[in-house]
Amino acid sequence: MQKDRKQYIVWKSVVALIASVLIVLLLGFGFYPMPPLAKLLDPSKGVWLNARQAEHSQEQSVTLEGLSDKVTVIRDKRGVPHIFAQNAKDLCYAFGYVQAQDRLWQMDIGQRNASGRSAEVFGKFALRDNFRKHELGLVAAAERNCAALEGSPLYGELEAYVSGINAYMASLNPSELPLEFKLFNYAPEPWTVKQCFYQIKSLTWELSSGGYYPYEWQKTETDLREIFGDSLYNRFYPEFPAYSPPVIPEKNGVPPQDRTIYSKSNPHPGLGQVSDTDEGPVNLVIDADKVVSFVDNNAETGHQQKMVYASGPESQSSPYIRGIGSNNWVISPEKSASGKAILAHDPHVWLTLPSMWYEAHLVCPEYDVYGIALLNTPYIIYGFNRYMAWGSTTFNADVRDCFTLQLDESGEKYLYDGAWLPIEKDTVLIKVRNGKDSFCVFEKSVHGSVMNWKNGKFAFRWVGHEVSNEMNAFRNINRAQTNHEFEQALDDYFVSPHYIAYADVYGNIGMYASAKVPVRSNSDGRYQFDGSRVETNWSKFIPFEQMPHSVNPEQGFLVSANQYPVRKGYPYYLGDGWEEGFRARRITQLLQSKEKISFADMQRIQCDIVDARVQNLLPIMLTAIENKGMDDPILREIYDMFKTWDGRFTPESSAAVIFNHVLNFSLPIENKFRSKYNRSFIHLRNETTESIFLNETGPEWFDNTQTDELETRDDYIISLLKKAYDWFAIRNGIELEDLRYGTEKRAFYIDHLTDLPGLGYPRLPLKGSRYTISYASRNVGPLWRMVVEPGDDGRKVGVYPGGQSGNPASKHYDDNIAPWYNQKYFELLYPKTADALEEKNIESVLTLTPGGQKNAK
Amino acid sequence: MRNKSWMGMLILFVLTIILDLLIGWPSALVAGIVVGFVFSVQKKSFRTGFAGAGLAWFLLAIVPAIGAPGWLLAGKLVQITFLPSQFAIVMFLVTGIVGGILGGLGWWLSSLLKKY
Repeated sequence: MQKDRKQYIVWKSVVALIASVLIVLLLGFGFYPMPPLAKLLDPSKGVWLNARQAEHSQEQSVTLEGLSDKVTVIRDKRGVPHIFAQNAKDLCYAFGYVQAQDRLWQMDIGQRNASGRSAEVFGKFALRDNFRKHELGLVAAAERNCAALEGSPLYGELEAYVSGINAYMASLNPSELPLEFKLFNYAPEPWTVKQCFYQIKSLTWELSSGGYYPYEWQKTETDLREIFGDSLYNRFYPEFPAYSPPVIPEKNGVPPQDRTIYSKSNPHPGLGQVSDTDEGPVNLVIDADKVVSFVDNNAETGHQQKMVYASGPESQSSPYIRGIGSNNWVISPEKSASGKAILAHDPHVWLTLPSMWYEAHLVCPEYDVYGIALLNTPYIIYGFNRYMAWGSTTFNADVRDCFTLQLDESGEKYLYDGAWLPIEKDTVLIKVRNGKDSFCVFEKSVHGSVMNWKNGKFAFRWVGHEVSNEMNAFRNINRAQTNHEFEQALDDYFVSPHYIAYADVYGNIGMYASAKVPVRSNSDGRYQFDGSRVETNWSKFIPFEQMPHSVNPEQGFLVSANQYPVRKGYPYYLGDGWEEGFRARRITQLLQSKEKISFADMQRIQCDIVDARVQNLLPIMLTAIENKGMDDPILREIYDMFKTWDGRFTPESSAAVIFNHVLNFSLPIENKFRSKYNRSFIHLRNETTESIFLNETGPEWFDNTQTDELETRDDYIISLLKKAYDWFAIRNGIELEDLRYGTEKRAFYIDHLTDLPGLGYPRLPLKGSRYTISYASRNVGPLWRMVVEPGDDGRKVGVYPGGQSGNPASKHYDDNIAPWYNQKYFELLYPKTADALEEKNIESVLTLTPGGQKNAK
Repeated sequence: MRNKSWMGMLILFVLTIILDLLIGWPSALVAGIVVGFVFSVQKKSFRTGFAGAGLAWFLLAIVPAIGAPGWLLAGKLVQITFLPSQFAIVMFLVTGIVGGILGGLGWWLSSLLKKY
C-alpha cells in the first residue's frame, strides 16, 4: 500500500515535471503564432526595452567601418534626419544606417514580401502571395535588374547604402531588435544589393498593373459594338470624357519645338514679380449655376484612347486598384502671386503604420535634396533640390500584354512562328514557417511568364520584366540642376508609369507622362494577342521625346490627377485605364477661378473636400425635385438640405450621405444589360453617367421597365432620392438630419502593416471622397502633401500621415497623423549646412566617423 | 518557517532583478531554482516563487514605464488582446504573471529535486 502510494507520488512528480518543462519551453520559445511570452515581456530585454529605447540619444557618436569621412545626422523636432556627408557614397551609407535605425522591421518585411519570402515569417498564410510574386516574374526580374547594373555608379551607391544598413544591424544585440521581430519571433538577415530591387519591382508592378493579376479584355471591340449597338457603344465607351481636361494640353501631345525653356541666363520674365492685387483666398464653394467643362468638343482626335477600364474584363470584376492615384499641379511665375513657380503634390496610396514613406534631407557636395524616400532605396523619390521640385501621379498606361498560347496535345509545347517550342520550367522553393516547404514550378515562354487560365494558358509580359532603371532615374533627378538634366534622368524611367510634374528656380514648369510604353503592331494592347504570331511581340518603346509632355504651356499651369493624358492628335496607343477626370477638373476650375494663385491657395486647393461630381449633378437633382417633388415633405427636406449645402464632404455632412448614396445606383440602361450579361461587365464610369444625366432626359435612358409608366430623368432621380430615404430612415431608423458622412464605418483606417490591433491609429471619420481633391477612402488617402516654391528663398511645406519612427512606443510613430487629418502643414527645414539648423529645431545629433565599429556616448 | 519563506521570497526578488539585467528571460526561472534550493519550503513553494519573481518582473517593467513611452506601448499592446488602451496596466500584470510562473516553477522544481 505504501509502495503504491510512493509510486503514485513519483509518477505525479514526473508528470508535473514534464508539464513544467513544457510550460517553460512555451513561455521561453513560443509556438508560432503564439510568441514566446517570457522573451517578449522580459522587463530588461523584451518589448519594454523597445519602449526605453524609443527615442534617439540627444548626442551620439558612432565609429563605423566602410565610411570614408565624417557624416553628421541632425534629427529635427519631427524626427526628420538632415544628413550632411562629404561624398555621395558616405551619404548613401549614412542614409542606410539612419533608415535602419528608424524602420528596420519595415525594411525587412518589405523586401521579404516583395521577394516572395514572407511565408518564412507568417507561415502558410503568406504562401499564396509569395507564389504570385514568383509567378508574375517579379522576383526574377528584380534579380536580373540587379545583376545588369553591377559595376555602375548606382550600384556602388547601393552597396554603400546596404553597408550602412548592415552596420546598424551589427551594432544591435538581439534584444535591441524592433518590436515586431519579437512579436513574430524571428531575426533579420544581412542585406545585399538585391534587396534594394525587390521592393521597387513589387511596388512598380502594383502601381503599373492596374491590379494584382494580369487580365485583358476577352471581347473585342467588334463584339462590344454588337452587344450594345453603335449608338450605345459610343456613349458607354466615349473616346474622351465629356467634361474633364487631359493632363497634357499640347496639340499632338508634345510641345512645339520652339517653346522657350528658361535657364539661368534666360529666366522667366515674370520671375520674382510679386502680385500687388489682393484677390483674397481661392473660393472653394461650388457655383451650382453653371456646368463645368474644359473640353472643346470639336477637337480633332488621334489614336482612340478609350475609357473602358471600369467595365473590366468579362468574368472578372474590375482589376483596377481603386483609389491608388494622386494629384500634382504646377503653376508658372506669371500665374503665381509670389512670382515663383509653385508645385503641389499629393500621392494617394495605402494608409499604413509605419508609413510607406520616410522623410529625409540628404546633403553632399554633389546634391542637396529633401523629400520622401521609399525604404530600401537611398534616393528621394518625391521632393525638391536646390534647383527644382518634382512629384508624380500614376499614369495608367498599358505596359503589359497577354498572349494566348496555342498548346500541343501534351500541353508542354506552344506554337510560335510556325514552330512548337517547349515551355521552360523553373522550380523555386518557398519556405513556410511551421509548415511544409513548397516547391513551386513556374513556366516561361518567349512572351514571358506563363499563367494558367481556365482550361488554357497565356503568357504575360510587363515592361518591368525588362532590365529597367527607375532607381537610376531617381538618382539623377536628385542631382539634376536644369530642365535638360531632369529630362535626361526621366529617359531612364521605365515603370510604373507616372505623370511627373516639375517646377524650377528659373520659372519653368512641366509635366511628363513617364514610362516605357511598348509600340504594338496590328493591335492596341487592350485585348489578348495571338501568341503564335511573331509580329505580336513588342518591337520598341515610344521614344522618350514623343511621350506626352508639356513644358511652359500658354495656360500657365499643368494639372494631373490620373486622368487621360492627351486629347488631340496623339499618334500612339497608350492605354485605357485612366482614372476619372473629376479631381483634375476641380483643380483646373479652382486654378482658373483667380488670376493669380498664392502659395496658401495651393494648400487650400490641395485640402479641398468638395466632391467634384456635385458641381454638375447637384443642380440636376434640385431641378428634379422642383419639377416633381416639392409637394412631398421628405423630398422637400432633401431639397432644403441640398440647397444649403456647399458640396463639402465633411464628417458632419448629411447632404453628402444622400448625394453619395444616390450616385451609387446604376442607370436603368446599365441594369438592362447587367441582367443579360455578367454583372461586372457593365459598370459605367461616373463621368459617363454624368454625361448621360446632363444630356438626356427621356425614357429611352431612364425608364423603369418594371412599371407601366414611362419614366423620365426627373422621375428616375426622384425614385433614387426616395430609395435613399427608405434605406436610411425606414430600414436603418436614422432621420435625414441625423445622418453623418464620417462614421466609424466610413472612416480612415490607418492600420499596422500586419493589421495587428493597437499598433494602428484609432479610426478617423472620413473627410472627403473618392472624387474630392483631398482623396479619401477607407485605407487610401493623400500619403504626402507637399507645396513647394523651388529655390532657397521659396516656401516649402509638407506633411504625411505617419511618423518617422517605426517603433510604436516612440512619439514619432504617428505624430504627423493628427496635423495631416486637420489639414495642417509643416514648414520643411532646408538648411545648407549642419550649422545653419537652429538649436530650437534640433532633437538629436548623431555623428558617424570612419574606423572600426564601436559605439561611444 | 514563515520567516524562511519571506526571506527566500525577498532574496528571490532581488536575485531575479539582478539576473534579469544580465541574462534576460531565464532570470526568474534560474533565480527560482537557486533560491528555492537554498530556502526550500515544502509547502506553498510555487506560490512563494511566483510572488518573489512575479513582483520583480512587474516592478522592473512598470517603474521605468510610468509617464514614459513604456506606458504608451502597453496601451497599444493590450489592444492585441482586444482590451482598450486604458487597460495598459494589464500588460504589466501579465508581465508579472509570466515572471511569476517561471519563478514559481523554478522554486517548485528545486524543492522537488531536493525532496529526492
